[in-house]
Amino acid sequence: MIIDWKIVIETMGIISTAVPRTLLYAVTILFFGILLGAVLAWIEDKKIPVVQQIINVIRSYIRGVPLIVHLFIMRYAMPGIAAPFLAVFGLTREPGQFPAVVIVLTTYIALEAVIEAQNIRSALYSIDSSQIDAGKSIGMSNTQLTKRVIVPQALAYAVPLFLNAFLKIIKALSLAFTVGLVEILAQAQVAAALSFSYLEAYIAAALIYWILCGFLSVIFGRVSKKLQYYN
Amino acid sequence: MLQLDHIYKSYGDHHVLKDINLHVDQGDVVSLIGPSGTGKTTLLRTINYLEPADKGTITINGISVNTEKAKQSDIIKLRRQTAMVFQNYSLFRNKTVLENVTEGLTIVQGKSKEEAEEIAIREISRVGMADNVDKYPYQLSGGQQQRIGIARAMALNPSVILLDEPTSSLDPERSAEVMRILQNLAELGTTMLITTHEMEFAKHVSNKVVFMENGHIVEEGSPDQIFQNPVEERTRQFVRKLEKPLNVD
Repeated sequence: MIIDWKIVIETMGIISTAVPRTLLYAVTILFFGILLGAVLAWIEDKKIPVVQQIINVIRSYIRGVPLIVHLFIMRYAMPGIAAPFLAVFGLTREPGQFPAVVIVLTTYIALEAVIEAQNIRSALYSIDSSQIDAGKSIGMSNTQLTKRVIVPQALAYAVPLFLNAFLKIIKALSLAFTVGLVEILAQAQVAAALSFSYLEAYIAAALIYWILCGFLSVIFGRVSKKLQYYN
Repeated sequence: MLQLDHIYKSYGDHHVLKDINLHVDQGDVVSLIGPSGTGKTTLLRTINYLEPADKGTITINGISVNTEKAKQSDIIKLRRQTAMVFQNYSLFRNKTVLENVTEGLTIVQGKSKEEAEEIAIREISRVGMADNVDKYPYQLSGGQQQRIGIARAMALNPSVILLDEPTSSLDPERSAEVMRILQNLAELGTTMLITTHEMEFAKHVSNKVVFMENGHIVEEGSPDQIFQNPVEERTRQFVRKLEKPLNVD
């Protein structure tokens, strides 16, 4: 087996153009995933009888079905789901023309929200009741206690989980090519189709993922360590 | 100065405090003694509202709160009359020794950073921890953390300090260090209400001892009365057991 490293390097150049786009998708997914996850965590914390059971069933479904199956279902379901909303603005879309980015972002944000809701809950539960007692005992109001004690400690716990989730999203986005989104892997396939050098293109994609995620893990590791300064 | 009237507290069917009435004067050092699980800690926690009592009135320094009608603002006012020292120290994990002590002064009492630090350093020095102001709680031993817990409480200059078994997580040597600090505070005229199993402290440092059992105050009086001439039979049995902890013939 001979690998043409020149082609690998050239393809890496082509693929790297998809990196900023992929990072933007990942940031969007994580941001809205955390936001929705916080809402979900808040609802779950209320322990409303029927709502809680519904959430449990949805979570079990989302976790039990492979990502690619979710993507395919959304690909065919979303145009139908979105049609009434688009109609409000006088827009119509044929199923085949429905933008891949909308399908991917919606699917991934929904999945991420379920994961982040649990991360957020575990971050809040990680705070020892003694910390709350201490704050109350010196006369802090609930707002002061939240701002000065709970949030900083919960963030120190949650941010490393969020950063880890970010790396997982980048890698999970490699499945998004199946519904037509051009991210790192899809860009590699485009390059491979032009040069017919499939092995080199996939090696280039692997190296890009490795460098990107390796670099980010080093930075994220440092950030996480900084946040844990008091442990 | 501190007055508890008809305090009741239950967890479901379990009645933890039953009609507690207690009066503490300024400068008093009151030891709450009694078997474990008898409601001593709960009583302290109801005084500064970490556990709301079901019924009764708490009055500290003229601020009176009827626990059945208490508003959040009343609770905070009452809490600011007290400071608490916990069995498990309960220092803020994400704050340094200095910040642990200044936090209440700046955030709650609205003092300037400079003034807060001056007070904090004075109190931290009083407990012999001046060299550790920049450390985080995880870098300190249990005894050191408890000393900071005491400094934090003292810095707030509360009407009364509530101490919940402050030495029971410490080895005898560290426990003695903390007790010595508390003895110094007592000599300074600090009003303290302390739940303790350290009978030497109850005998020699406190001027009033309250014996509790099953959510009741069985007997209260001077250390001499409680330890030498208890009125109640149950107090007598408890004190006798302390004198002869091992039933060896």
